[in-house]
Amino acid sequence: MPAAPVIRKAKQPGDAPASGAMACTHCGDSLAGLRIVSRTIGGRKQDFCCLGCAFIAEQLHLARASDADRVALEASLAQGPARREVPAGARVQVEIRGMVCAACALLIEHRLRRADGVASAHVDFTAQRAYVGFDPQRTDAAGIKRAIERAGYHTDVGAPSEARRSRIELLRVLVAWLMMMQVMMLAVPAYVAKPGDIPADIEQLLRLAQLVLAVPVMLFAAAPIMRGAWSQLRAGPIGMDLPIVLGLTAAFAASAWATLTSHGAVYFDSITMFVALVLGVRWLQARALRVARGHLDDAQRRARLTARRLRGFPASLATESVAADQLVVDDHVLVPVGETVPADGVIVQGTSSVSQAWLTGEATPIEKQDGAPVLAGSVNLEQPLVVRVTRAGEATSLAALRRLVDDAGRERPRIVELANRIAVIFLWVVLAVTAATVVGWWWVDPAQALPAAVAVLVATCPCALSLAAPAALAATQSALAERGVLTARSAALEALARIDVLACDKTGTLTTAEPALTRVIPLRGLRSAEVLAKAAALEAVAAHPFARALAQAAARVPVPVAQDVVITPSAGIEGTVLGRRLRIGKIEYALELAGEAGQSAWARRWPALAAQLPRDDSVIALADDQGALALFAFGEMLRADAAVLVEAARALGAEVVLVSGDRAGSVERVARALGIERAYAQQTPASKRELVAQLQGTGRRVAMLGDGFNDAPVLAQADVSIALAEGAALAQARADFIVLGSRAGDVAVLLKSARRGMRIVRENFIWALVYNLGAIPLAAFGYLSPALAAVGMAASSGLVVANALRARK
Amino acid sequence: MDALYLLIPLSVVLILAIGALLVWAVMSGQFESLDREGHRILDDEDAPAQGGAMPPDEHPSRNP
Repeated sequence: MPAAPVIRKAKQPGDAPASGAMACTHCGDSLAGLRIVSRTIGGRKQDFCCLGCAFIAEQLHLARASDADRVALEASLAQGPARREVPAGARVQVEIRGMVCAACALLIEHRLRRADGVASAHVDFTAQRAYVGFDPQRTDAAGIKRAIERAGYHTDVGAPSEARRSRIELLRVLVAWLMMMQVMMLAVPAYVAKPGDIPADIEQLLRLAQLVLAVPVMLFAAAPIMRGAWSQLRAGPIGMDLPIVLGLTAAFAASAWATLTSHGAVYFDSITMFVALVLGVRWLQARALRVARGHLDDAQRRARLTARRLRGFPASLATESVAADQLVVDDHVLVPVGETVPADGVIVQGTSSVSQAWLTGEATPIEKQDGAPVLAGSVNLEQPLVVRVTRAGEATSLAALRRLVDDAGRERPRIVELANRIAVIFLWVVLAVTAATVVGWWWVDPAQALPAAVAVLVATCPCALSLAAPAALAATQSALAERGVLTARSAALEALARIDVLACDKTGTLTTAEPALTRVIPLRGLRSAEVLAKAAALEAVAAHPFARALAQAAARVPVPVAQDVVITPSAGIEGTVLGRRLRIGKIEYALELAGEAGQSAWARRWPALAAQLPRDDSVIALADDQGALALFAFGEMLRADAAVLVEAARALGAEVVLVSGDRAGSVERVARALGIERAYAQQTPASKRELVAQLQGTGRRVAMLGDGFNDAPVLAQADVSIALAEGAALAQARADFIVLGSRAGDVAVLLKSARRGMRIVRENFIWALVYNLGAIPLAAFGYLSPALAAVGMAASSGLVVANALRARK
Repeated sequence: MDALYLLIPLSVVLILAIGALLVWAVMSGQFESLDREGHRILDDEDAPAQGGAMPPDEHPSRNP
């Protein structure tokens, strides 16, 4: 196995474009054969390979542009004339039926890539699906389906329903097993009886009965194997079904002939047992994959964006929860504080600031008022907003970006590619050995030629080899999904198992994303509980992070109800609590209540108070008309399981490095608390990326753990990226792994699972190769009967699958 | 021993009959959602008033 994992980096702007004039401005890919997307950005017309690239380039320009440009550009993005869209059909997913192994996926991919007009093709065996990008001027979805059909598989148009299909599959297994048992009973007498014990006509009757029972197995139960072989024969790259069917039909024909002519040996028992075992293993494997996929689907569904639609706006403010893609233009949606804007739209009510960090990597919130356009995926930070939808579903900017992400996630682990390539080469070797066996035995003992050939064909079936990696990876992913850790790119598991450095973001990763109340300083002789209750009363109506922290701190004191509450965005809250007018918020704002006198008194006291407050913490004040009542300091808290994560990473031999945009003081404090030696403070998104690139330059493999919020560039730079999911849904989608519960401890589990998963893949490979290579000489020299070879083959596949299931624990 | 001339073909016929039974059982959905009957005891037999009676296809009986 080569040492360096080949992980294709997410495309970076500023990378040198590919040679030749016709290249995408953003990603540098060749534009040949693609429908070009043109945009005028910064006064220059530029060509892109896809809407996604164009969109990103626009957004990057937007981030760099001056404020005036930004406003104009943003307006045109959200409201302007409809942009030229990539035709909806330029990318298509096709459900494929009839794939039985990973080699089938390889074949279809191979065929599709050669088909006219197809730009890219990826076939996911686990999902039984093809993802195809194509040139709509040269072909269409129907053409792609035809190409798949020509390769000998079926696409899911007018196919029998899923339920009916799975019933028939089950029936095949059951029929094979029933017949196998009965044929075995009828075959046993011939094995145990001494020659002459059984009258010839009874023996003939037993064989006839076996023949009758073996027919349904050959014609019905083994049909998928037969069909697979047929399509491989017709359509090129030979898969593993062909040698199986070769052996089966040879054995069946020989047995049937022997039965009808009463001369020669019969192998009905071997045939039926083989089919029964192969079908059984395949069925179990398919079931395991289905269960694993079910978990993934579940988890992904949970992570999906939902929207709060206002049904009767403006008459009523009643909301209903709908999926974001069900929104239509002119729907009104409520976007509460901290939630994501579900569709592109225009603000019709409310003033707030939103963060578009998922696009620009810039976390600075942008102020938005009535009539201002907002983009799907922005996070609302201050006040609830009512937004009228202008573009929804697939038309949103978010969807364009997500398509980009979707495509980036469709890479196959190198190790699976390797297995497929080995399997194909292996088959030719097997066929050659079989031919040699037949020829060799023909000279020595013609009667042995057929059984030996059948044994070689059966024993060397590389089923286990091609199951080795996919089964283990699927099991690992499904176990992770159950814990709420989603794998967006399965290739990343392999890379994650070999990382040397785990770079962690601080805020929201090792520390809680939300500030906690770290210090209360009551003034004028008041008690802490008293001021806490009053502060919590005022903040009860707010959704600010400080308000939540206060509510948490005041959970055990009775909180009065505030009246006549007035909220001033970005300043604070004023209201009447227990008959007194109070203000809480920024110190200057709160002291306005006390007038000039209060403020000058405050100026004298402040230096002494400031010394008592924890450094780097944010401070707000509670005041009445006499002056300040109390100070509240908010700061970050270490996550409970941060130490577990650091410990686990170290145990796996990976150095933990802290990379944060925060001030040096708080970064150092966290680093010291967790025993992290290397910590970098005050990093911008760009300098984080450089830092990771630098580490990679020294030959180290770096995994980046972030909240996926303002870390997009560095997540893309790292070999593997892991996002803790509490930020914007889209930023998460850019990471290789998404940890849903935001528990740092789950990241530790992820690291361990990746190592174990890859170890299991290696074990499987070794076992499958040893079995297959060992069985060839045994079978060729006649030491392995077809039946024993069948058992061996089925057992090796079963063992590989069972070993893979260990990864679920 | 003569009985074997009858018994062996008879056993084959019997097995084919069992096979046919299996076909019927699988195709009529007998092996699907095996947990359902176990969970049925937890079902709320009294359907909510506004919805009227429980829809007849709530527990589909696919048996002919």
